[in-house]
Amino acid sequence: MAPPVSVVQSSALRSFAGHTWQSRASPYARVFRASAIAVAVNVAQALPAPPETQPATQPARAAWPMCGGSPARNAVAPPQPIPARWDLETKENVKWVARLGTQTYGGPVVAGGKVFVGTNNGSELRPGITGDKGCVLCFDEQSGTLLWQATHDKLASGSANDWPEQGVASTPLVDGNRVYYVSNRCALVCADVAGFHDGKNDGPFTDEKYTGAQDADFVWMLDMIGQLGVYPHNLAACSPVGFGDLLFVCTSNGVDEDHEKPPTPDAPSFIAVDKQTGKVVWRRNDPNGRILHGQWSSPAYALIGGQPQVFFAGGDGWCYSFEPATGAPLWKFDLNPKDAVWEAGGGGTKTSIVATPVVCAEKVFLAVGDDPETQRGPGHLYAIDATKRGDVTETARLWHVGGKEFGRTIASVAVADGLAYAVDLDGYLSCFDEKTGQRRWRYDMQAAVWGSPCVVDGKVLLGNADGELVVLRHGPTLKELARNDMRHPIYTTPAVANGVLYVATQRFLYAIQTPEGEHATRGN
Amino acid sequence: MAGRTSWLAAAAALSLLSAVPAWPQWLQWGGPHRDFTCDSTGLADQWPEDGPRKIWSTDIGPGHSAIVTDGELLFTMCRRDDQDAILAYSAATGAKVWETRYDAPPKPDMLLEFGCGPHSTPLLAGDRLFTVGGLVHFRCLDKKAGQVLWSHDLMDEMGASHLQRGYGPSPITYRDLVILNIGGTDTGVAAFRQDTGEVAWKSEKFRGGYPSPMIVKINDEDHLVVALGADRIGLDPATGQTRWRATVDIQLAGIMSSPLFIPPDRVFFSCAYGGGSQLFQIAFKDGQYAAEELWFQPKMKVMHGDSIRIGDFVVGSSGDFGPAFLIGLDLSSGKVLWRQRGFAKATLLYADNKLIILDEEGHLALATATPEGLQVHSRAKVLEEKSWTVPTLVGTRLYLRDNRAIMALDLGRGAGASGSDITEAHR
Repeated sequence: MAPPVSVVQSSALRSFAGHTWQSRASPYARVFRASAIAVAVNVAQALPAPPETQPATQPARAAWPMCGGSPARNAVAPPQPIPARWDLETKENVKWVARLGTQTYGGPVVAGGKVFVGTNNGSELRPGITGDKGCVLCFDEQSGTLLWQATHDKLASGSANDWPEQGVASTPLVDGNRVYYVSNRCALVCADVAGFHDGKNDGPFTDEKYTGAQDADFVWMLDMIGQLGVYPHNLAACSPVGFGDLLFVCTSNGVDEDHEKPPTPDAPSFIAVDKQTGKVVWRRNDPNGRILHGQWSSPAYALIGGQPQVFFAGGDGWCYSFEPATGAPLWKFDLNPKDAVWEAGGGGTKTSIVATPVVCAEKVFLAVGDDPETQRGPGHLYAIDATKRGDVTETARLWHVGGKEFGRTIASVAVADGLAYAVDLDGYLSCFDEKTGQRRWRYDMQAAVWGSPCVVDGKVLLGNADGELVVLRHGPTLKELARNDMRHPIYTTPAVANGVLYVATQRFLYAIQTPEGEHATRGN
Repeated sequence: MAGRTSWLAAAAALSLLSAVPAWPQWLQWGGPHRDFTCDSTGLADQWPEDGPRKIWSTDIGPGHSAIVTDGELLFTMCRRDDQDAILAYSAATGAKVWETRYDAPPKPDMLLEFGCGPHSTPLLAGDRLFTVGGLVHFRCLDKKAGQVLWSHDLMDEMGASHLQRGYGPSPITYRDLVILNIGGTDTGVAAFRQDTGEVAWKSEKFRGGYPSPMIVKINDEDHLVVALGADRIGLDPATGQTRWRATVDIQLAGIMSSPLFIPPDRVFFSCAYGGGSQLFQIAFKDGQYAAEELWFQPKMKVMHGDSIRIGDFVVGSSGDFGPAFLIGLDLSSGKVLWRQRGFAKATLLYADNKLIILDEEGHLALATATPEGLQVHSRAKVLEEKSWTVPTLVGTRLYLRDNRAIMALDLGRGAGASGSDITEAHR
């Protein structure tokens, strides 16, 4: 099925023009002009200056600046040629390869000529920085050269709050000259995208432990343990989202080490933070003592019928929508059946939410799941009408697939051209009719899947824990295009920008590009 | 299979048994050859719909230690609140013969969401039973009465590691010694005299680790082979001296499953948690041993069970976070021959050309594995709780347990005919 190209391009340009993430940085504009040949036909319709309050629902072609590509978290990229096959051995269609740590969960993001990844220090890339740390690496988009590394020591409390070797599991958010992420120490970090290469130590945070040219320039940090009393269960992992002056973060507040109850139920679960200062603007702890395990989901943001909404998935199995400016509740939806029973270890019928909500066409797509190491159990995937108010569990449920039909998952849904792609931890990728939930097809990934599907160029891309990046045809009939061997497990979601596909395995970051795509980039 | 047969003979000669056993036995982790194969014959080709005939079953208590038997008594361990319990049952009836307990309160730095074990499997040698609890309490007991003959608290004495979730590897005998992983302050592995419990040797320092050691003959010398963290090591089992040591990638340090020997000189290791499987060749050159990696296959990740060698391929249950697959792996190339869904993480036995599969959800199955694929002939849910324990096969009788119950099943032909059950026949 050919995607409706004109619609997709218009929306891409609209989001490009109006969305503050991209509009600040000049490199985008340059790339935009270079790629204008492909999209010029739609420029006239596409640039009716939209209101500044409009968040992007899709990434621009020139950037993939956050988890899911845009605040709506719907990993669907505008048209650009992406190869179905490549070969790590011969380097066919491989633009560059960069070494990461040894465990990588903070998927790649791309903006302003840089690529960012959250990983660990297993490869000890920076001379003199040894041992277990959490790291964010910044690479040059064109060459894959390492520009700088943010380094975070492990928490003294160990695996209870900062699991060994897991590194920074947050997928960074890039906004102009700032990059935001949650460190392994449960701190919300704001860093300068230029690192110390601009010759300045931006503050208020100025007492960096590492101050070499290849170290990170932190601007501010919000220590969610020290300042907010949060108890992150095993690891803080949220990928922030933002709009306007605010950042939105799930704190990862969770249960104690014995899995009995949250030791700090009054600490916030969801916060809004001033992007410039790192000051908390509002906080909520709706899941409170009902947190089942951890809170590892990330929020999404969208405009629904003129009302901005920020969506959080709680560790109590509910999805919450709040008014972004104030934190006032708009609606909440319970993803577990009312008679579901929680058992630590995953044996019960009730479970948590790790996946990130995805917004498309005034609907939220979200499924339940827990720590991938817990026992398997019945899953629940929903399409939720985001226009209702109050407890909308009964009224906003548009469709549901679960039980044996769809397992527990930590992956997000991708929605494109009336089709919703959703994958469960067991590795079954389903294509559903976005309106009805009717299944079009199901594909066996033949391995566990943590990452989420990404749609681009008429293809669905998805990595698995056996180190394969599978490429299927985007459409209502199943067609496998390729299973690409990536050598190491993939626990991240691919990103696409400027005609380049970025895939982070546990140990390497690959930039993948067709010869035509390479030609177009050089044309810049 | 000629090489294999001669190795089996060598392994049998190594065992402490001086006399031919009166009836089939399973004296240690991994059984007669420490590789989860045995020489049973007469196994049924199919089971009834609801599974093999149950001879008896009884509640036992939490724990994952496997079952060893001299044919008459069964021995295993379980947990009773803050105590470890060592248990002897009648193989014939399932009646408890004795139970010996000692205090073993968990340490504050343990991770206890899956309990405190015990995970380690007892070891039978002559009239003695050797056990190790989750907190590395090492005991030698008289197997008839359950009386403790000597003991060591190895966390206190050697700084042995409880491995966070409770000590798990199973001890092994060598001549008059019993050898076990320590992961202590200055020693990785230690040997004790079976009669007195006196320390016979201590190896150099290695991290602790869940894989159980095995003793194999390479280049006509004995090697104690074990994986401890990122180290893959071969020791001289008589002295504890290191014969060879390969340090692998840190991502392979979470290894828990036991190694597999591929005679005459290859060793297979498999590790979950984003790891993979590796085949090493132990070469002897210029008076020194060296372990050389022949291949690495990231698609086969055996977490805590075992792997079975069948001719030129290996079968294992691969999976860590999420689904598990039974995988057949070609030994010469490391290539995946096939993978099959349908079982949660599983442990395996092989006898009479049949693969016996027990997954952690309690499904027991009978299958044929060839390089072409896996054919499942029968499958039934026989256990209710978490089933992490490799079953024990003696004759045609299968002993198995989960985190609560222990049972005996008859896998013989013409299920129901007691003549097929060697233990019963003997009686």
